Amino acid sequence: MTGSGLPNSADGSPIVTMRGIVQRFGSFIALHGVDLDIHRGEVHAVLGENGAGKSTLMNCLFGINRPQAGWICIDGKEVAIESPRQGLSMGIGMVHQHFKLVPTLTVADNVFLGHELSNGLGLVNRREQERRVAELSARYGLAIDPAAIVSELSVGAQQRVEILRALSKRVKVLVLDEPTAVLTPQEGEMLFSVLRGLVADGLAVVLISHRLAEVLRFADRISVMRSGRMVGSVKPDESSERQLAELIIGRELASNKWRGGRATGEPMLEVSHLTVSGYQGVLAVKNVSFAVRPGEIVGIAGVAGNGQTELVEAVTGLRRTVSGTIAIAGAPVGKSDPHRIRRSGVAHIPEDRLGRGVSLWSSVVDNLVVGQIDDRRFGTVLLDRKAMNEFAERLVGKFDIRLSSLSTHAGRLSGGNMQKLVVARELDPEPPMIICCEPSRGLDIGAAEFVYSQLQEHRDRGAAILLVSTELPEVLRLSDRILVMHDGRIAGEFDGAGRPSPREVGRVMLGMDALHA
Amino acid sequence: MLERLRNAGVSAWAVSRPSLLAITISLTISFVIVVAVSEQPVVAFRTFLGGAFENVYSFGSMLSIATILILSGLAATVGFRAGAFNAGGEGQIYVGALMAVVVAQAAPLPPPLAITAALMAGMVAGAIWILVPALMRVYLGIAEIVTTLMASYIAPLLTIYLLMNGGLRNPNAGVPETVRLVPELRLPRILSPSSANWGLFIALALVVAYWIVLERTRLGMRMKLVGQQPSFAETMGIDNKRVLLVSFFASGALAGLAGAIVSVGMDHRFIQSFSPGYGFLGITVALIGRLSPLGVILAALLYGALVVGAGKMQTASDVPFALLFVLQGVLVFLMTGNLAAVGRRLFGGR
Repeated sequence: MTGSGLPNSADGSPIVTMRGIVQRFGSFIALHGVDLDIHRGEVHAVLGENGAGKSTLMNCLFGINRPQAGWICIDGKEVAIESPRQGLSMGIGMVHQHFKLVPTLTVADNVFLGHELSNGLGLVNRREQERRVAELSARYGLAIDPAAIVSELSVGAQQRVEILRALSKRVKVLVLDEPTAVLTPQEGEMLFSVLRGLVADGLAVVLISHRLAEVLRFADRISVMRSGRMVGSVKPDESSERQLAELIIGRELASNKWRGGRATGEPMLEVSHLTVSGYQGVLAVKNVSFAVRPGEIVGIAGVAGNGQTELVEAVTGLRRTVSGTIAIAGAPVGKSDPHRIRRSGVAHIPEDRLGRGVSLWSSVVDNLVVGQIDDRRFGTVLLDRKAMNEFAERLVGKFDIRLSSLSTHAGRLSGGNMQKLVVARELDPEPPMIICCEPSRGLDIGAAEFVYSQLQEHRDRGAAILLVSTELPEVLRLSDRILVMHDGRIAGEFDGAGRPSPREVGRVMLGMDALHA
Repeated sequence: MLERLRNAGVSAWAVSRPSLLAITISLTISFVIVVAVSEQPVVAFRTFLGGAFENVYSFGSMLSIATILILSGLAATVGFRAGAFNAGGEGQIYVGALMAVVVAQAAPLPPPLAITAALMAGMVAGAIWILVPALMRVYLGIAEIVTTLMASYIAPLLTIYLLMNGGLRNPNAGVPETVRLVPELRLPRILSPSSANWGLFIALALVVAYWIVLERTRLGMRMKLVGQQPSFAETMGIDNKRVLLVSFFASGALAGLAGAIVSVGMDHRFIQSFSPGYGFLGITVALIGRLSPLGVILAALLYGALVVGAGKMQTASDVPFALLFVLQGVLVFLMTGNLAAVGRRLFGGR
């Protein structure tokens, strides 16, 4: 063991020490040798963008992932955690963002699921379970009725059940993955007072979050991750939202050769007063209005999880709206109808590449052709396989998709090549409207440049483009107008020609400025 | 498990390997049982495996059973492809069988047309029988594996009710059954005196048609996409609900046709409890055939051969027919369990 793992009387020895954790998924390296110390009696926040490696790191600690290199010590002893059950037995509890509860059972049944208390006859002792839950909830101020059925509880109460479940197993470290994402502000306040009580009792709490304000208010220590590396560890009283934001996003800015377009004519896409609900009915998009005209790129910037996904799903017909209207080329789109929206000329490069972007188990040919499958050139009654192959070959060449053969399953391509496949399929028919999410995710610099120039070319030929990205440099680089989403609303608007600074836009992204402009 | 199946399709070997492994293991287990219980294990097991090929009659019997299994296997396959688990083929076979007899006898048409109408009626009946579960799944998200199964328990009772109370029963027969179809209204036989009939050609033609639809039409492409990855299909503007409904109805119609061919081709009448579980065996056949057209044919032939062989074994030796049920149980267990994972655990590596 190195010196860093030794007890430190001033700070108290860490409960958990992680050193040099490396996690690879195929050729993708999710964690490049990450260190982390978790101390008794502290709320330790781990920040970072989506994909920075926060959850992967916690999954290593919880036994869901098994790192390829590095070591983990719990209470000074090196351990190998091979399953969540083992993690739990070593005192690591996790509250996932998406709850893992049985909705038809009571609170107490859920808390003791898998380690039920039994009486002398080996039957489940419901009364004792409920008594213990009541005791735990009273001790930590987690207001809940032990006999209530989980499906009838609010989201906040369900989260308390998850916390109680971890506490019932006497965990030493409680990891919460974006716990406030599904809570109302009041429920959030309540959660943090509970967490305070837990650390006062000697537990350690790890808080994964992207809400800077709450982290600064409630955490004792903040670690920031970026692209699989730990890039900083700060104390909240010595830091600011701005400093954290810079650490999270990273300073580097692409060499931005911004080139403006010329918007002409009537809006191709017009969204007015749109409200959409997201996960578990929480409103994700709140009264959003904007328009995209032919010949312009409108960029939507924002930290992931501020309603962009739901907005795009609503506009492409994949998600029902609560209220408001969406019009494409002047014609209102009634109920959610992805087929009609696509036929009216809306191309969609989705954020969820594996779920929505490609058909993992279909050939590259089928993946490319499916975008224009109704076209008669692919056959009238029977499909013309030869025409389909020729079409695919042309796109594979034009977009430089690297593959072993056209019949390869799309799921076997690398992330970058998959993205090129999606871009090729969506842009080839020269659609009048392009909705493009995270265009460069997984692409190397050269491929990203190619996609950028494609988007600009299509803009110049008169396409209306809605660009949604959590990569601020990319939005600044391409957009003629920039809308910033924060907490489901358009929190600010910038003119791309005015070359706003990342810092200026970043402040609005983080909700630090009220309505700009 | 369905995911793995629908997604299978790398090389012919990779696809068929689990089936071949399962068949080998279950035959081995059957052999061990035969050795344990029998005085003449070699005779018994040889008859079990080879009984279907001893003479023309046995061979024809095998083909006639395989005909029904091809159709009910195809019915299950069509559903699986688009993500619909039709567990109620048995019920659709019953309504199809009765409807075919009724229409054949009632239709004022020349015989070839009457037979055609009877087969179509069987298909329509099968499709109607799956209508409610299909709508409930597509529009309300209610698990079709449960509802189709429930519907399939109603069908044999409903058909027997109609038989007894609808004036359909043959008053001269001991068991509840309809009167026999006149010879002109029967599908022509092949390999007489076995019950093999032209239904075999219909079944084979439908397998080919299924292959063409799946690989060469837009509908087939959509079915595969919806079955593999509904979120992708939806994003590409494919109407998941419509595609799912189409495959539900195709599945029900194929099972109904299987019943119609039992009536018009094999039994020439509707008999109470005529099916030895053709509908459920169809699911087994689809799984062993790995949802591939050729695989379904081979699996149906294999099973047909074992049914005939088991019957012969029972008379030729001291091993009862029930050995087949043991084999079937082991097969289903192996095909639905994660055989690949078990192999990895036993032999290590990937």
